[in-house]
Amino acid sequence: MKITDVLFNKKRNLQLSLVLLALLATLGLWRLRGTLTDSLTNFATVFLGIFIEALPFLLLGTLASGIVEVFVSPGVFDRLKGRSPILSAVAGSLMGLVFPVCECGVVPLVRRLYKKGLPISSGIAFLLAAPVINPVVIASTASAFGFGQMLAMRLGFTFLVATITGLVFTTIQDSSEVLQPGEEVYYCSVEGHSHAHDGTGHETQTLFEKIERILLIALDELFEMGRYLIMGSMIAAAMQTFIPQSFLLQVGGGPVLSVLVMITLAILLSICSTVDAFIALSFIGTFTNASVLAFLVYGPMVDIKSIMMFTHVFKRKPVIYLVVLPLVLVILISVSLNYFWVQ
Amino acid sequence: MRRGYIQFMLTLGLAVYLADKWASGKLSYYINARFFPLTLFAVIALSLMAMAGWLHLIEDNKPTAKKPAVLPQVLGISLTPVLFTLLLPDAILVEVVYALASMLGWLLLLRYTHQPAAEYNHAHESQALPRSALVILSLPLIIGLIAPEKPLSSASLSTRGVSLNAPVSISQQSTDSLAVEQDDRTILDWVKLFNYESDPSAYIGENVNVIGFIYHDPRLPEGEFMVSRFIITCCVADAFAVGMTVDWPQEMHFEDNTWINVQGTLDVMQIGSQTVPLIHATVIEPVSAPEQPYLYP
Repeated sequence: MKITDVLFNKKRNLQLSLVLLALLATLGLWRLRGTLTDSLTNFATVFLGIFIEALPFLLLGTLASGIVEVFVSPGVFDRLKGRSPILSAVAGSLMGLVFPVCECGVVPLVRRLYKKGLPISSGIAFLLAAPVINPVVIASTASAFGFGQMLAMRLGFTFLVATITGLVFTTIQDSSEVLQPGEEVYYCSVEGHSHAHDGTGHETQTLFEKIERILLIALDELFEMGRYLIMGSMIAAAMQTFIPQSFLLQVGGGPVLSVLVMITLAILLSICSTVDAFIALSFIGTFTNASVLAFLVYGPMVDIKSIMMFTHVFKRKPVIYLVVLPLVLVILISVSLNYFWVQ
Repeated sequence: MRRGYIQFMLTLGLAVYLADKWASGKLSYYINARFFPLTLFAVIALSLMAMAGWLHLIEDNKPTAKKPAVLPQVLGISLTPVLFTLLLPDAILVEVVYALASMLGWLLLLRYTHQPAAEYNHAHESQALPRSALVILSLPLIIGLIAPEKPLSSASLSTRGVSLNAPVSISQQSTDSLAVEQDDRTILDWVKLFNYESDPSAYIGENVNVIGFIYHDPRLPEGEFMVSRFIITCCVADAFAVGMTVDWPQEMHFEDNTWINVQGTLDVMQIGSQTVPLIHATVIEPVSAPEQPYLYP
């Protein structure tokens, strides 16, 4: 090998300089440790706060996905196929009652369920509805708002929006049209186990092996999905540290504007759906009930970290549909409620 | 293969990091104490996943020999935690987590030594994780270790502002905080009192004794400042501040973000159209930040 080949190997040079940059940055940050400006410290605190809060929920989702992979046989959803499109969308919206996951955990789970043959429309409805229509979130909303209008409307409208969005995807039968190609490349290694037995299927695996497989799948998905959770948390933390929230709150009057402000807040704050009811509670009084409802319905469906995760599982067009369609529906519902619903 | 090891180290590292935060009590800088059990769950899940990853690595590494190479496994399982402990001392819980994880590792190991090793000899090419996943997953650890462990400071008030409204209570228990003895009332209790009582002026002249950090609110005139606390419902991302105005005629000047204990008598004042509490301070002394820097509604 000539010396010039070594010197001008572009890929290696890029890698080398990236590593050097990273080292320099780390060193620089380390030197500045004491004098790091307050806002950077606050950024780190907020980022770690969101991450530490969301991590257990992501882990629950990846573990659930592992359990589905190991214990649910493919073809279990065949009965949903070919039935009326409304039925499969409705079934998808209600599946959260069986799989209690929030918006961090639902994405890996939904991809796993697609692999098991879940119809596209059911999966989309599940993706949007599960973070709200599940026992944990129903309980936390009830403890924040009581068993009343707010809880009923949160569940009702989430169901409605998720089902409608699911229906839009009914015409698509082939999952490759919406899903990113090359899914689950990395747990071929995990898959390898079952094939390694040559003919001995999952049934003959001991419980110990099954548990190990669940953990391995969860581990790989943690690294796959965790990327998006971390990037999302960073963006959310940066927005919070550097963009004045008080500005948004001052804007927030009027039947249309207040809804838009609450939806923006829901996207920016990126709070887990299991606890967002308590946060929403603190906005009651500042904002109209209908705009708080918009926060409660749209926030769990779409926020910064879930958009990041969507882009990994779905192609670009479906992601746009997933973000925009519920947005339009929620705005329509809440704005009209603002006009007709007596406060 | 190398990525597999990095993945294992990162997972264990995250578990240790969280366990360390839990054990040192610093977790309360980041999330509401109600969610501590969830973090504990994450620690256990991460440890188990790391152990599973470790076992998987050994299997892949295993040469075609009949017996698994026990020595590297033993060394790996026992040494990695030791290395981590050396890096992050002064945590009691960490040891417990290690003990648990190692024990489970040993159990799994025992089980595997009973298996005919031939079953696992298929050398399947395991696809590597994308490198970006490893880099990004290491970010929380890097940030967590580099950034100083500090609760949210008054610097963030420039974007958040101090709220004049108390949050609506979550639990039944905290709605009773109006019944709290006046000496024990926190800043949050006082602000709630002003929100829910129709005539707060009835409390004028009562003794106030609160702890909080200083924030010079731009809405206040010279010689007055806010003594504030952050309220968090879930994690610091939803933090907002409540405060009481302090009237301190003396010359002594305090910097923003200094933690103080204020004693004095209560009065009322107007900010905008709202009646808010004002403390005529008689004693102000700097104190160290409380262990739980935030108040929970």
